Amino acid sequence: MTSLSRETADAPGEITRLLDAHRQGDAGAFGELLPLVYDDLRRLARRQLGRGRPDAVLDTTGLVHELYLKLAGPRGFDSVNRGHFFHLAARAMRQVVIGYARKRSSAKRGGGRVETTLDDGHLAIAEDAERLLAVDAALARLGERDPRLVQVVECRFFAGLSESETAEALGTSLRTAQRDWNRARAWLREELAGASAP
Amino acid sequence: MSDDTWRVLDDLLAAALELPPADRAAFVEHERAANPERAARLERLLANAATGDSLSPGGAFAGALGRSLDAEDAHLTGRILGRYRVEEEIGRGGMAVVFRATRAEGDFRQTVAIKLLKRGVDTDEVVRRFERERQILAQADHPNLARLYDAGVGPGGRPYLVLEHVDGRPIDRFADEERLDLPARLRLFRQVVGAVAAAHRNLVVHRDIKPSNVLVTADGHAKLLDFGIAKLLDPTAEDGKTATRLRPMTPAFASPEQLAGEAITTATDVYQLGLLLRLLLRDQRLDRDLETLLATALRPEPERRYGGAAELGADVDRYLAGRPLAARPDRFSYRLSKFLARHRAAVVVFLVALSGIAGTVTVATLRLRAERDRATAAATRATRSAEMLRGLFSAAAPAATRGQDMTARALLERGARQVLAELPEEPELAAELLTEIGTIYGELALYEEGQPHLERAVELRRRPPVDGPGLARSLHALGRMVFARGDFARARRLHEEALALRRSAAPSGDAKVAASADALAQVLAVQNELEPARRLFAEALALYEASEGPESAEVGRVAGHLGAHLRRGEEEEARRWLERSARVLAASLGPDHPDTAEAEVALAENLERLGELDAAGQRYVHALPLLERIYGVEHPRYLDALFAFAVLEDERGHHGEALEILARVKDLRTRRLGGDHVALAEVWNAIGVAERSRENIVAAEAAFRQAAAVHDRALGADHVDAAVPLGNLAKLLEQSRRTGEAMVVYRQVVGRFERGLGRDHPALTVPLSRLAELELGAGRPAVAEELLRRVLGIATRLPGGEHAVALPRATLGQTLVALGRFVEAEALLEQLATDASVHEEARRRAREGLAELARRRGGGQGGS
Repeated sequence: MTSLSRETADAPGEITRLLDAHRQGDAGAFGELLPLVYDDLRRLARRQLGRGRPDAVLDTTGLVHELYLKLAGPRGFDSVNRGHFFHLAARAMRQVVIGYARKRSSAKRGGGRVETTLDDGHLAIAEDAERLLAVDAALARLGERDPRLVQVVECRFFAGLSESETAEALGTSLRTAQRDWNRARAWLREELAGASAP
Repeated sequence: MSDDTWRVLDDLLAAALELPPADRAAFVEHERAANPERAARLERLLANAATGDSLSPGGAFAGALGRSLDAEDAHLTGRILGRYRVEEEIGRGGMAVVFRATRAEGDFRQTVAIKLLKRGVDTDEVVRRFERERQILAQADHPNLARLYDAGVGPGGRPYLVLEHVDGRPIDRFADEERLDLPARLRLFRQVVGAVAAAHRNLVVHRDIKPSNVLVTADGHAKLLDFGIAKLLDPTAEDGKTATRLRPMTPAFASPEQLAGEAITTATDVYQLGLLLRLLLRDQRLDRDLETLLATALRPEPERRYGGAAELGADVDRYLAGRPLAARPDRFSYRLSKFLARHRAAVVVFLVALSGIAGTVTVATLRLRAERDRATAAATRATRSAEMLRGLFSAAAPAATRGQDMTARALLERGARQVLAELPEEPELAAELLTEIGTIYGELALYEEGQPHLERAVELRRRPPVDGPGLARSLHALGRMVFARGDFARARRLHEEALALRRSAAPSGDAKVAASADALAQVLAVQNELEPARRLFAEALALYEASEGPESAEVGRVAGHLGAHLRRGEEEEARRWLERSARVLAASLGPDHPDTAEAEVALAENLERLGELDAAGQRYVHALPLLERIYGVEHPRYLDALFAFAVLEDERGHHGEALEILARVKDLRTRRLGGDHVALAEVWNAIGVAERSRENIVAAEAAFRQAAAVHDRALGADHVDAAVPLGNLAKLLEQSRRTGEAMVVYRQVVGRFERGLGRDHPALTVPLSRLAELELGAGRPAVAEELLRRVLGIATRLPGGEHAVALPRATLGQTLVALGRFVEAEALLEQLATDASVHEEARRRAREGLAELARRRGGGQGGS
């Protein structure tokens, strides 16, 4: 099913159907959705980065919101599906970002020096991709302890969602989202420090 | 790190993060006494979580990536932006972050404020708006406007403005702290008006005038800030003054047209200036001219306010100079027409009642004065009633009062005096008219003025020969009023008496029986007697359906009352009743009727309980301006809805906004009800909750204590309702590690629940469990065990009890370990730890308990 990538008119309805299906326990629907969202995000990212400027910035926040507008249409999803969409988009965004970082990293090993930094949800292709990969790996370890912390990092760090959007995405209270983000930062740095220790 | 170690550390981390940052060090120290190694790790984790770039450069996680994991934009501190060095964040709004920054070149040193567009909000529309703010500020040149120095583009391509740094306090705080008198307050306000007038001259509407946007420097200069949502008026539009709509940013300081999404004009700023002035003058004695000035600025209809800030300023000047104002008090004809529109139902009842009474009274008096001719008497009474009513209204016409307008209140006072003076011989008629007048007072929420009339009416009607239906009418009206004033016990007696009278007059029931049943049911519901209340609501519904029809407004109202009084666990049923109520009322009374608006509010509250916060918010935003227009800002029905909206805002995470609205509700309720009314207690409690969310622990504690104190003064020292703020207080104390105090308050909560709800009420499980844990922590496991046994006794009987008992059972296991009863403990904990159906928290506790058990056994063997 690739109707979404072709930007057909019934995309919002289709996405809503899949979001509903997933919410009602159809785990397959999420699997069906993720690649769709991922493809679209990657395409948008490529467009943003393809402007050819050496300091090109990948505005991850802008991307997620742009995709939302595109998929949900002018009327938007209802609040439950909106939250669900953000959750999904945040996961996909992590994959997109890490995908780029992997490419940069192997390019570097191949001799080219292309680096990556993240500045508040703006991914600038200028510094070190290895660090992003380290975050990704640390996150995977953290996920074994508490998957919720991973989700909050995906929303806040990779997708650049606001606190309240993160709460909406994860179906928690704002307070919980804030607390989890603090906990996640604490543990993530701990993980990264541990990884670098001799 | 083992899973368990990680969990324990994570729990400690989560608990520490719940505390205000200042208290975290003490928390760590407390932990250090128990386990120094764990405390050290906790300390490092907390440092990781704290804002600021706490990692050293060159570490594994330094640089831009590390910073981006810090709080938004915190890393800008210390950086250079253009010619300025960023010092610290001083403010944060929907669109932008504001920093204090300095410019230093040679001997020249200047402090500025830098307003940087937030990341993630820099859409084209917002960037355009930011650019508009720059243009507006560049044009404006006024001593009371913060100056624009510079502008540029910062990190991530985000634009920023360099503004005059105003070191000051919000205007209301300044006025209070400096104890300014009335003229000084007016002169301070006049500066703000001047700044707004300058903006208006440039065709700019500010739209967001509120205390936090008006800072006053130490030497008394007011500065108007934040043109972030300001609007350039379109001079080519029809009247040169209209602008397109934009949602208000601060509901408590929004004008009616902003809330309604209607056209914004300079009169919008006038309204907000009016709100600001009212806030500044809230504790001052206002004379008639100031009342008029405020009323003119705050009229709901923009076209009837001052046209712009300049006109308002001119009247402030006139007032300060002791000259007559340009504004005139509201014309009576206008106000009367409004009054009639609002209270058409009441006035119609008034008229109908008058003509009706003439008949009944005639019959009654005929019995007393048999010699008088029946027809003549009837004609006489009817004529007199009509004349009196005409006199009542014509006396208020401008011609008769020489241009001095008469308020609705004065009209009623005059009517009541006339009734008492002219009808001493006819107590029945006097009682009926006084009942009507009192009822209208009640509708205006002027309880203090209205109640004496209703008391008098009941007293007159108790004189023999008693007219049962008439007495019931007056009792009903008085019952409604004392209910509205919070005297539930008396309201109950009055309605019970009225219902008995009406039942004896119509044994099979009629609309009047339904009205009394509905009223009594509401009292019972408030007194927590839900089953009898439900039966009476059902009876009222059935009677109204029969007499008025299933789609009648009466049915809609009762459905609304029933829906509003259903309790926790019955939200879905409540929602069905409330939706029926809103639908029936909108169809029978129209969408703009006050009862329809209230049904919307009730539905909003219900949606809130069901967790549909955004949907609830929409209902409020629709209903609030309507209620304000219908009732005015001091009316309880408006204030109740505004209060509920504040609570919702708090739940949605908008704590600052919630507190602003709550402050307004508190002031207005205090003004009408006094500070010791039970309605103030809920406001204080809500303030406490919002302050707690902002981690303002001191303010939260003060507010909870105030809530409990008000409860005690209003309802007596042992009422169960005060358990709510006390419970909040206890939890706050517990979280602040003030364990001893927390235990005292938890015990009070337990005591109130026991006496108010019985010793086995499910509500008791929460404070008892908390107490048990604290007792266990304080080294008194025997006490803890006793408390936990009680919790388990109550919880086992609850539906879904097997889930509710898991956690107290885990705690009990830990308690048994502490008591050295290892065999019992082990059996209990093993079972919990291995039962997959038990929720995670309880299993974790059980594992902890088992670990402790193993440690103790190991220690015991080592010692022997």
